[in-house]
Amino acid sequence: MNSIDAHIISLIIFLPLLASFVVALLPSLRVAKIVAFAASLATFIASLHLWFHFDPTSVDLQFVEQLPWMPELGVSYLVGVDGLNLLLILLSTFLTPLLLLSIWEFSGEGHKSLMALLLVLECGMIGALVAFDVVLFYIFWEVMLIPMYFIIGIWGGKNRIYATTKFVIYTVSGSLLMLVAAIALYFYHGEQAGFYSTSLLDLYKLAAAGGIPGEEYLFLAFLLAFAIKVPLWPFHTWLPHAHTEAPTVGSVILAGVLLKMGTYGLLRFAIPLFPQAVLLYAPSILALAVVGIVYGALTAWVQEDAKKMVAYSSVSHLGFVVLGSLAIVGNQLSAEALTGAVYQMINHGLSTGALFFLVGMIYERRHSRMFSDFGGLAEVMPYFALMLIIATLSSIGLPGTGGFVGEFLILLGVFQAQPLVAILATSGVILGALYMLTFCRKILFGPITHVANRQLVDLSRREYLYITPLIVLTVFMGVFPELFLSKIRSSVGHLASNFQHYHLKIAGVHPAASDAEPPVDESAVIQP
Amino acid sequence: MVSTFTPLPSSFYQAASPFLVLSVCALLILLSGVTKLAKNSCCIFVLTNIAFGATLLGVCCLSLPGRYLQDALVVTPLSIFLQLLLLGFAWLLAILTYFSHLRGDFFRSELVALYLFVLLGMMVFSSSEDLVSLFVGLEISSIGLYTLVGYTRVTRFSLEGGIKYLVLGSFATALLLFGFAFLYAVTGSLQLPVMMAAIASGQPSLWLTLGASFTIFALGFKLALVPFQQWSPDAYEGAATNITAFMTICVKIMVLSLLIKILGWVSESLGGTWVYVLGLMSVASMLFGNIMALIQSSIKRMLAYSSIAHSGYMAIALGVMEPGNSFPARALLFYLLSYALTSLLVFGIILSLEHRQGEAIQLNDLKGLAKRYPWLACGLTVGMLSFAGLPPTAGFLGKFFVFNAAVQEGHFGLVLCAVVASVISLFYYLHLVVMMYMHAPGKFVVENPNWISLVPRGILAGAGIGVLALGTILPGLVLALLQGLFG
Repeated sequence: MNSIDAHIISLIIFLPLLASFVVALLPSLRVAKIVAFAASLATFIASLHLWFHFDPTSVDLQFVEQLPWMPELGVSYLVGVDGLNLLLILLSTFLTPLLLLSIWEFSGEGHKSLMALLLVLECGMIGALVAFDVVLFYIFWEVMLIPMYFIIGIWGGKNRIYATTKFVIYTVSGSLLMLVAAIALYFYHGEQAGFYSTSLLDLYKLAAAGGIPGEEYLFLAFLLAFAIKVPLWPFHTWLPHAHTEAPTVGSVILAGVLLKMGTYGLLRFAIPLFPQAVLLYAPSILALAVVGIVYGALTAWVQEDAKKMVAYSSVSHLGFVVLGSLAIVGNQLSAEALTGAVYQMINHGLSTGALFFLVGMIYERRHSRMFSDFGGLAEVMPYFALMLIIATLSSIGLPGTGGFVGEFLILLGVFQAQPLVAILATSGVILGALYMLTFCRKILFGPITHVANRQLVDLSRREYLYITPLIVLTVFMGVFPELFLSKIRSSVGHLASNFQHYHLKIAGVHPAASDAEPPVDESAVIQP
Repeated sequence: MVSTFTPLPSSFYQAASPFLVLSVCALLILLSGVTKLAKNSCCIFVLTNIAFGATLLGVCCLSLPGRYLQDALVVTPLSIFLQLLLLGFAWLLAILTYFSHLRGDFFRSELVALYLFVLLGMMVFSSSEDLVSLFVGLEISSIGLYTLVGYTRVTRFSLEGGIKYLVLGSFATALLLFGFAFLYAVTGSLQLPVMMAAIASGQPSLWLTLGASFTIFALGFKLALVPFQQWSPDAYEGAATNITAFMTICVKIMVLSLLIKILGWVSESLGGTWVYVLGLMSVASMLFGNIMALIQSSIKRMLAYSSIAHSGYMAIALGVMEPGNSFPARALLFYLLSYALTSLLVFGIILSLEHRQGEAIQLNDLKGLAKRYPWLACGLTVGMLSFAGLPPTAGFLGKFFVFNAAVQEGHFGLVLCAVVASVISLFYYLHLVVMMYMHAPGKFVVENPNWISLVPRGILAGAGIGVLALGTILPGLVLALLQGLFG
């Protein structure tokens, strides 16, 4: 492993953090904007290194960096990339420059602070995604929370304080329980293995070695933390508030990446660590997810506020991701559904991110997000209309957009596992088409009923610059899914077929002979 | 007992030199009150710095590990560490005070001398394993503190706080003496090691239980653990802010120095009961402190309740201590370190803000602080996050280690209560942040944005960076250091 590969992840994590300090301290706003954007772009380019040098055939952890941190407790700085987090990392690094671009001409107070907070947020997101040590993960997980708290609380709407406090309290309550469960897991591992470690790679071995006493409770604690973040019905009540009150950048990053932390956490922590509990609780969670899908869709349908509608649609769409993560066929997870779930996370990030951006654009022009204030915008803003329609179609899951690939794979896998669940969930797709198209119709078509709307100008060059990449990528993901699927297939297949005795090792490091690994069922890696 | 006078070995004088230096300096400062020097707070400040510097030098260079005078003075790595903490924080607080509005009120010869005597008492207490000198140390510090609370800045509230502290404190002192008497009666010795050996080998008896519980309750009073907390909000609010900070930080260090030494043995000999008693006290403190803090409008009162809650968290680690396992003690020391550093940061900022306003500040006064003083607001936010136990601050790791210690002993219920209390505490810690960042500016008007001089700014920045570093890059190092203390 060359030296770039050994440190690339640390670079991606800490470059934004460093940039945020510089941005906060720079006296000139102009320079600060350029520095922030350049740093986020550099981070994105660095993350492309992962994309190009990632070995898609390997199920091992790649680009690993491990440093002792609290050696006495077995806590280390352990980061790495596999097929489950690769695309999410890229999504985060891809969205951040676009976010910075979208606030380039920010008119409110504290432009520099906002940029600095977005960069800290990027650091937290990437850190949480690449962390393979429970304590490290927890720290990044909470680091993510603090900038978001300020973004909603300072630059948000009228009820911002209520929304942001609720957001923090919900998240922290869940994650503190997760922390306690993680400590319990840590001690159990210490007793069993004879050494203490918070490394996930070590903790995974517990499940393979025959499970953990009290596993159900530990699983529930982890599940709660992630379910709040996803958010899984009925833990979703913070989300509509947070989304409605947040400024556009906040909503985009919240829907784009932060919510995925919940589903990612399920895949990375809850499922492989507690497989027996997963088998026990999967039906109930599936039920909650289906309720969430239908409930989210129905609630989205009756919204009058565009942002609230997109927020509830997120509840519905993330329900699909949870479904896909827990479709159990026989004693394995369905690889198709799991692949679809990972794919859908990315696609939802892109399409919902784009939707929030677009809603933000009309809000900037009209200071309203109510459907009743719009209508006929296609006439005055044709390019805006085009972008909105593509984003909508991707959100619905029309073939040719990324949404189709993700939802199709999920429903395919779930149907094999639980046909009834799949059928019920499909109603969410239909409802999705209903409310999303209604939304499009109310905003874009029909006669222009408000005089103010006649003067609206179409997208500016800067707006083009940040919305086009999202839309193009959405379509690209629908047309060339294999390009992305090939990166995630091995890791997902490995998790799906071995979830009851999951194990992960660092690429290039061969486990000692005494370290008996359970056999890998290579044939079970499904090749669609 | 020694019947004839034998000259003490010179090693004793060397080991005791920090105490001797500090008392001589304190006496000199007291004496300087009769000269014209005392009129000038600057002179007193210089003398104070000399006193601290000389004592610190003594602790660093002359400390000779060993046991002297039948354990009346025990110098171990742990005691040196605690003395350094006490001295360091007291010195930093004195410097912060000098650059605040309290300069004229505090830098008077008699008050500074008292301050140093209190510190002396704390240092004696933390490096003694003999009941008599422990008691003397505790009393020197307590009596000085009663006075400091009431007289540093005389208002009706400070007198009220001082009197309450005095009355209830005397009660606790009596309780402590009573406890000591029982312990002496049961074990026949005043030396802690002998006593602990006797306790460990003997049978549990009623008198032993009474003695141990009285002792620990009295110390719980000093920590303001529920149900011995009534004095603390009034004393905290009434006292001048530098004294409040001094109580928050140094009294906790002092009391825990003894509890760390004895609790393992006490709980061992008294069976599992102690865990429940301390557990109950800690749960009550965490919940009571955090819930009461929710409804306060004065910052110092809020922090007083928050300090009760933090004593509760520390009591979790105290409850799970046992001989042979130093992890709870180290977790506790880490928590203490992070709490002390955070308190220094928070109280330092409050002191600076008061400097602007010249009176106790209310939560509402903080509205829009971030717009006026972004760095102060940033520092206060770091402090609040650390108090609330959110990463990446020292407060998180402190809680993490304490939870670790408790889970290791299987006390899930205790940890779950602590989690609930932590969530409750988020409301008021975040409320302060909300006030600073999410409201339109209130009372603080900019006249001179550079009103905080360089020295306190440096101290506050150092404390803030320390809180963050302790939560991110330093914990491994600090844990290793603490490991060294317990050998």
